[in-house]
Amino acid sequence: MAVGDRVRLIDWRDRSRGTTVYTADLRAPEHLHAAVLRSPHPYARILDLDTALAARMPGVRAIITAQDFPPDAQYHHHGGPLSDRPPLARGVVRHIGQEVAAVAADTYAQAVAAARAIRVRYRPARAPVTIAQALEPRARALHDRSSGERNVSAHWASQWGAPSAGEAAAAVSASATYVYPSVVHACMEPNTTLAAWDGERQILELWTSTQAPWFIAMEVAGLLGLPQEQVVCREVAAGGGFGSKSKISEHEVLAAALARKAGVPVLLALSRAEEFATNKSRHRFETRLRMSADASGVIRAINADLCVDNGSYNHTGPSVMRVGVLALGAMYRPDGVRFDARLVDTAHNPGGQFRGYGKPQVSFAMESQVDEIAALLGVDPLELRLRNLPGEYATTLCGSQLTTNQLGECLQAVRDSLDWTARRGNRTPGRGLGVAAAMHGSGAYAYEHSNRSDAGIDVFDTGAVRVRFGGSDAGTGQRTILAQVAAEELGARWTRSRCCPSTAS
Amino acid sequence: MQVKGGEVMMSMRVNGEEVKVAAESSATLADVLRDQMGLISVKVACARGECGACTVLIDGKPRMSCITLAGMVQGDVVTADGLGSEAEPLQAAFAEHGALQCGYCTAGQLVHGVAVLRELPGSDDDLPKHVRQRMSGNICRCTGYTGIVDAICSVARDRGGCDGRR
Repeated sequence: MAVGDRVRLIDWRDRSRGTTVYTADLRAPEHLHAAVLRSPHPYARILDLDTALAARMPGVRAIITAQDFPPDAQYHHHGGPLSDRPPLARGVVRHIGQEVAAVAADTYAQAVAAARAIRVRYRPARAPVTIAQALEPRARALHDRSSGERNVSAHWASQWGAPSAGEAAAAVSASATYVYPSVVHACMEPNTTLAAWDGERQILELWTSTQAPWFIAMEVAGLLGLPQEQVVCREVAAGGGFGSKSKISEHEVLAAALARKAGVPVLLALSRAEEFATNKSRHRFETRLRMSADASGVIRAINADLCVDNGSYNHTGPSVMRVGVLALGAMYRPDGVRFDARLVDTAHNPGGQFRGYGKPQVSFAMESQVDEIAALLGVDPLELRLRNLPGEYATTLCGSQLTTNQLGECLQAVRDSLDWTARRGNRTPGRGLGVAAAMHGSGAYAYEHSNRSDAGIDVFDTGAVRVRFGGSDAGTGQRTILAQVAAEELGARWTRSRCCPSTAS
Repeated sequence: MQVKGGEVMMSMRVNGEEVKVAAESSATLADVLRDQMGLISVKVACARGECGACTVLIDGKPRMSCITLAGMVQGDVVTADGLGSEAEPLQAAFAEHGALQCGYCTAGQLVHGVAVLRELPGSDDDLPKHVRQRMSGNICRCTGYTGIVDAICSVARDRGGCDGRR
């Protein structure tokens, strides 16, 4: 049967020949082209915004500013007091590249020219752009936060287990700061949305490069003041995501608001420069870590001070920090872990979700320091990890309930197949051999409704089967997998199963 | 020939057909292929000649259409759509070797891969290194490249390898 078989991607012919349709390839519906006016300042008050001249430019069909949204419109993201970003800057800009206004015109060149003709009077002010600057006592506060600390959006300090007892039993300890810089996803397909507004039926249709159509529909509906069922994401391919397209960006609602105002469909495609400047990159983590181990090589205690560079708005910062911290208590089995983590507001482009979701940043610090402990003890680093395996069916310090655990077998397979011991001894300049281990929990249970999934199945009298599902396939094979599952369950030949993501209404 | 505004009439041979299009004199070949001729296999990902997603063949040579002025093109232009049956074994090899995921760069990889397969090095021993070097201008963010190199090498070997070309 199909599940477990080695099969080709269900749409390999189209995807390999270039006939798969991505958003920027759509020729219908006929549409206008959009350009975004962005802040040139890290921080500034907007004193005046005048679109009159731009509106008279050739080809211009609609211009939107913050006034085209409800006065309290903000991205929901984590909700409550953590929601902090308006769809277009309202009175203040907090990073270079923040969206101030957007234009739809007959051609892209006309839209760009009109965006440049919008007159904005800014009053720039000094603002912190690094973690260290943001935590200075007299730094400008970028937001009014509830943590009680200036420019700290979220603060989580706690301990698991008995770190003091572990430290008392230790023979060696290592201490260092590990910096994981921000990294962009650089998807091959730039972020692109085509939006069409049906004024009569009050329905908004979106073709957008996304990993999560339902998230997009929910956020766009909230920002435009529409019931969610009136926002529909249509099927279109997504050219890479790596997490960046698994939540809303900004192009989606800007295209939607322009289409509604112009009464004509609008395409908003980010340039590569805009991609690099405005995509929510992996958060920079500065992790000060002190790990202690006993003479037998068992890690007994971990102490960590973490600062996560949030950028100018929250987005997924609070949960990325949380998931990153969990890495401290996931691997190995120390007596205890103590941590103090801060999500720090800075006046540059916000961070966001990127595969691993905070875990790579903290795992980098942890695994670097495990190697340092191994060096202090004169123990092979792979061997040291084998001495610190968590048990099977154990509960980790961070609360994960393990079932089976084959980390030991995995490390031994690495040792054997790389000829680890011989090659570690044979040092060649410029070449190295290292080992690191990590654990990552699925995001499927991370928040309310996140494990929800819907699918509709059509069975045709020809024996063909079509699966319709509300997800997306950014190259990760969901369409192929669901077709295999359907074929397995229904006994259809899998090659006759079709699979199309859509949120039809 | 001037038409209107900054537009000029251009004629070129694309995928075996003579075409005439009116386009801005500053239009790139990628613009003309995509916007005027609807050839969506030509992808513009970086728009500055760095990523290779827009690769087409001009007189058999791989060229990046996003930095080629359409008005300057003389010679036969071939996109992934025009490769015909020559590309089919490589498409299948891409699928078999996990050489594509999101697919956005893949048509450019296919065009360049077909060109590489037409000019193999002297020895099979040099093949993977040769393919890696020749394909180095085509960026892929999903696969990690190994599948792409393996796929091209497998097609070369199926055709009798480098020696089989002589």
